[in-house]
Amino acid sequence: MSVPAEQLETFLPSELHFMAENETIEILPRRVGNPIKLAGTDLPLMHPLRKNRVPIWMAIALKKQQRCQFVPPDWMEESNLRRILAFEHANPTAFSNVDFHWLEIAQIVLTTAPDDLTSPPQVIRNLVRDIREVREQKSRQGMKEVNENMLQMDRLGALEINEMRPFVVEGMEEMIKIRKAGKKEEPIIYSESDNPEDDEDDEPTYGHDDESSLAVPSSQLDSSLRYGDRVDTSERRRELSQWDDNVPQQGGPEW
Amino acid sequence: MEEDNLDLEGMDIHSGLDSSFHSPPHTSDPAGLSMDETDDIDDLINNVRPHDPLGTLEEKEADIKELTHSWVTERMSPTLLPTKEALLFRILKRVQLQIEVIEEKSIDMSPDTDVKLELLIVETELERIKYLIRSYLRVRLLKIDNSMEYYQSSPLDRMNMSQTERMYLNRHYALLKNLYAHQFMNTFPDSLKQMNDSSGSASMVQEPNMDHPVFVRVVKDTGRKIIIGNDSVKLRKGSIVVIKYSIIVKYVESGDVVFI
Repeated sequence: MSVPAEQLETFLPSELHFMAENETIEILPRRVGNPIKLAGTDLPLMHPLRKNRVPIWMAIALKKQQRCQFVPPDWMEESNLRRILAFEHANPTAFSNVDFHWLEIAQIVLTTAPDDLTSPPQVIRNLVRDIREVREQKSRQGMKEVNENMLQMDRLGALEINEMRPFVVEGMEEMIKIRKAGKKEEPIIYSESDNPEDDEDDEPTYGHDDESSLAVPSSQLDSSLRYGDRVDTSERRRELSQWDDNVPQQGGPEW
Repeated sequence: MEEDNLDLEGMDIHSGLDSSFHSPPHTSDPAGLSMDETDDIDDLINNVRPHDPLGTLEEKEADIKELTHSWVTERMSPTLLPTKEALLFRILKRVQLQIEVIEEKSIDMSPDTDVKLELLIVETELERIKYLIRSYLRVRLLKIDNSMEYYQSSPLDRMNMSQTERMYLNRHYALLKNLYAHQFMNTFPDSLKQMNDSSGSASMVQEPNMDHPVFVRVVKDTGRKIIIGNDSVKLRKGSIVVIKYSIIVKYVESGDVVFI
């Protein structure tokens, strides 16, 4: 009634795009533009060929008026996408640390500003699709782990989580019901102690990356490899370095 | 009688919010309030740059961020969370100011493309904000509708509602009760007339489901671990966990985890 049924429990893909459009992206203005006061932010004074960081929705509007060109995020470089793909293939149980909205942003850039990519759009599109497929495969495997207590979905993107949401929620709810009807509930323990040795058997972690490190500058990718699947790291590095023809710049977008 | 009263009170959410436009604007400039002796430099700056009725960039961005966050949280949490009325008032006031800007600028019909671009961007932003507000309010109404009986009898939870939402609840509940009574309830024996019978195996009062699984992301390292039976999860920054709301709610409240 007040909310359409398809919006319960989950977000619409269009709403995820909406959220992704709140992230920022760098643009190169084509000509001078006056600053604009807005209700939730401001559009800074624009100088041609001086980079500005603006929300993606604003960049889309400017691009459509041919006022700017996009500077695609580092992780959308062909070489970086190849590294991610290689990591996804090499680690059957771990995910690379990508931007939370990576799929949405990739799609926005590919549809709005394909001419601003450094590689042919088709190449980028195929890489994104390949990465998505490998990850999808792995996250479906992970669905076996659904139980009534908890499920961990580290490093999955918003869109990837969202497509599994209805299934996971329904599955857990049913299992919670069964548990309630049958066995007695298991006690919940909030453990305070933070013993580093506990971490040994944990799955790959974020390490020291802070959450804003969205992905992919090569240094971070390497650090995430360390937590990968007990593969010899130096070997993997060598293997990956062949893709490393293009050294990406540091500093992903802030969240 | 009762209905007349309710009509007078009105239940239009928007009129409730609009009233804020007549109240004094949100003053978040403590310097102007408390300090008599301001720096010369401050004076200079203030003279050169008159106070922006929209507020500073930081205020604006923080408010929009909070609105987006509240919207996601409200959409995904099974319970009704405290109302963000003050935040909505501030944002709606800015929206109103921007609408005035649009009206002003669209009068001048010059073929200046810069003006057109500005209008385009201003309007796009307004549509985005309006979507957030609308969706936020609607999902709250849905929760109120779903658990009407529960909120009627729970003053503590009603504290989370704004005044207009409380009005909506009261009036909707009264209408529904009235309708049921006239349609069929009056023909029932007295013992079957209640709508909040919680005896027996199934309660008629539908409460928010605290055991609903929710998706959260840890945003602060807590060094905590939650153990349930054979499963355990460490609340490490960046982790994404699906877990019963009742278990994670205290971390949601402390801001260590956020809904996604």
